[in-house]
Amino acid sequence: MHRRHQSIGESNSLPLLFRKIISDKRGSSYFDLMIKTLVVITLMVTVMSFLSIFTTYLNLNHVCRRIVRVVELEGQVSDKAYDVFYRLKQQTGLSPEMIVEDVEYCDGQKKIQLRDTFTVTMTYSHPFTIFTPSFAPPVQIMIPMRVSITGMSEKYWKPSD
Amino acid sequence: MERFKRILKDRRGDAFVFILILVFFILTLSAILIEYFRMESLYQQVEYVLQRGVNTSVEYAMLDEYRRDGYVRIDSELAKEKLYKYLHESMKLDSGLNKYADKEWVYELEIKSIDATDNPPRLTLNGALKTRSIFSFLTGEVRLPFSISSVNNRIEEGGP
Repeated sequence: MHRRHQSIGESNSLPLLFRKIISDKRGSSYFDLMIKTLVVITLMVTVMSFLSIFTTYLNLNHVCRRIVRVVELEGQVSDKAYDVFYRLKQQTGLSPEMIVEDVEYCDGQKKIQLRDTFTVTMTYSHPFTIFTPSFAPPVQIMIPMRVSITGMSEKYWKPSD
Repeated sequence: MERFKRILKDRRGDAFVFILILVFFILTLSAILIEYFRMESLYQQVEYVLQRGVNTSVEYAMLDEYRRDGYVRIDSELAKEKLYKYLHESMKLDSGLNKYADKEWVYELEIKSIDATDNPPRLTLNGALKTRSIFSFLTGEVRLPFSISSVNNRIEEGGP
């Protein structure tokens, strides 16, 4: 009899206990701090994930600049330029497409005469992950990037070369 | 006079004045930083383009008949002429070495000296980049000195 009475008393006091906990203001600043920390961490993670876009753009710019410099020194779109391009792709983890345009080749070969200009354009689509659910593939948006840098040949090609 | 003293002693609205001073400081600091990086970027860009001009001038003026025998010599007068041609044609500077972008003055190249030596084939350009900043009313025009040099020391087979 005593036991039965106790169990009825427990079931009745449960919502009352919750109500008391919710209305109790002691330790509220602790929860406040926890929520604020969570918000700040979420914001920081969001900002840091956006930073990856800028880093990728800077890397693409760096790759393009280096290739332009190689072509300037070589005076042609040579195997060395493609070799440097391949190495930089490996180093940065990017896989951009490269086009050399606005160029006038001399002697019908891929040689650029001294002080002739050319433009190297690189295009790349950066996959930006919004979130990664455990039950499905990651949700991504593709951010197109394009870098164009103009260079000038520093090599003199004699007509017989 | 009394009124002025009363205004100074009155503490009402001092937070507003404090915010105004704080905003002024932050804006000034941001302007200084932005202006510094703008000028740094301009300087590096001009230096890069000038280096390319000096390199190509040396390359143009190499005397091939000497190179064939393993010597490296340049025609110093031709190198100087090619450098000036580059400044006007490629860098699009006017006769006073001023650079304009959309009819707006950007900078002026002040060339102090162009030293060319035949052997070793070296071309050195000394001068300064004169430009304006948003703080020109305080500092006047800004002069950024540069010294750019190019040497061709490639020696092919042959020679003594």
